[in-house]
Amino acid sequence: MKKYLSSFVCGFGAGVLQIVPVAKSFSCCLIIPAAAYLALILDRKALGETGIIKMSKGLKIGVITGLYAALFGSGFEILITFITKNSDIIVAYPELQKMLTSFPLAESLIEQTQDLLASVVNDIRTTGFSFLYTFAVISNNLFVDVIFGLIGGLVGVQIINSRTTKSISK
Amino acid sequence: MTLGYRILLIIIILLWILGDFSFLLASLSEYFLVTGLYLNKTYSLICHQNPDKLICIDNNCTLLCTRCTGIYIGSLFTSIVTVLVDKTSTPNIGYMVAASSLILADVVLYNSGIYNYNKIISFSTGLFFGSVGFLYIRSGLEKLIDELK
Repeated sequence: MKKYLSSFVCGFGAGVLQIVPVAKSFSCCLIIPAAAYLALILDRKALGETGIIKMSKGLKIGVITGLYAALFGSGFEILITFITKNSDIIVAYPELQKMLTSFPLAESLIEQTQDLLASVVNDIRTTGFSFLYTFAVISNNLFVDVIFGLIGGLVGVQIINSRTTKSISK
Repeated sequence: MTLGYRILLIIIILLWILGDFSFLLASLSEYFLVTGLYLNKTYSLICHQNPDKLICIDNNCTLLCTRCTGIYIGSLFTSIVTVLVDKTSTPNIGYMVAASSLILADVVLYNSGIYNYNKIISFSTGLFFGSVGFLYIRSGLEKLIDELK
């Protein structure tokens, strides 16, 4: 745990930012890669390292930061949905319904999809919890955050190493 | 990086872009509609999905905004262009700074009312950022593969 404290701190920060609507819309896909980059810098400072970082370390820190961000992000979103009995799917529901009817597809399929959406929305409105919605939140967060954490780790290492090389050559 | 890995990268990016276009392709197959509904949540994690900034054809829109779509198409473009290149060198960090600055400048300029939001500018800045950004990711992956050997 102590070994990945920087990932934990940055993952927590990213997890919180992921559910804050204004921050989310400003930083978009940069939250997780930036968190991975910051975790790399924090880790270097904590260990007092000044040399070149290995790619495998960047990958590890990036993926673990993404994992923490996914865990915290999902946890907060599920908790907030449970407390407020509201979520982004409820906000988007009328628009989704309208959109569904516009597709030139079999009516039975559209009806089935609408029923599925309605049951999710109904579960959230009445109990604050929907198994399907929770599954979607956790699986999406895990998938996206780990991938973007990995990207942040790989790009972050190159940025740090490029600066280190420059300062060594000076 | 072997040719197999390079082709795998292209396939991954292509699938990601296909996901972005799910609703635009929904009239072709119901699979796109079902996956689109699920992927809408996936892409919401990495994009604001502002309805005014999506690419729409006949009321069916992409799941990502114009700029994000540009970023991934740019990545796909570079991945295809460099598929025959065995090893890429890490590009100068200045290119990344320039690409990010263009996006930042566009966001600041239209938010301050100097000009209105323009999808072509948005797409172009994203395209440039994605094209450059992919080179860093690929170079990182190449170094990682070398380390693991």
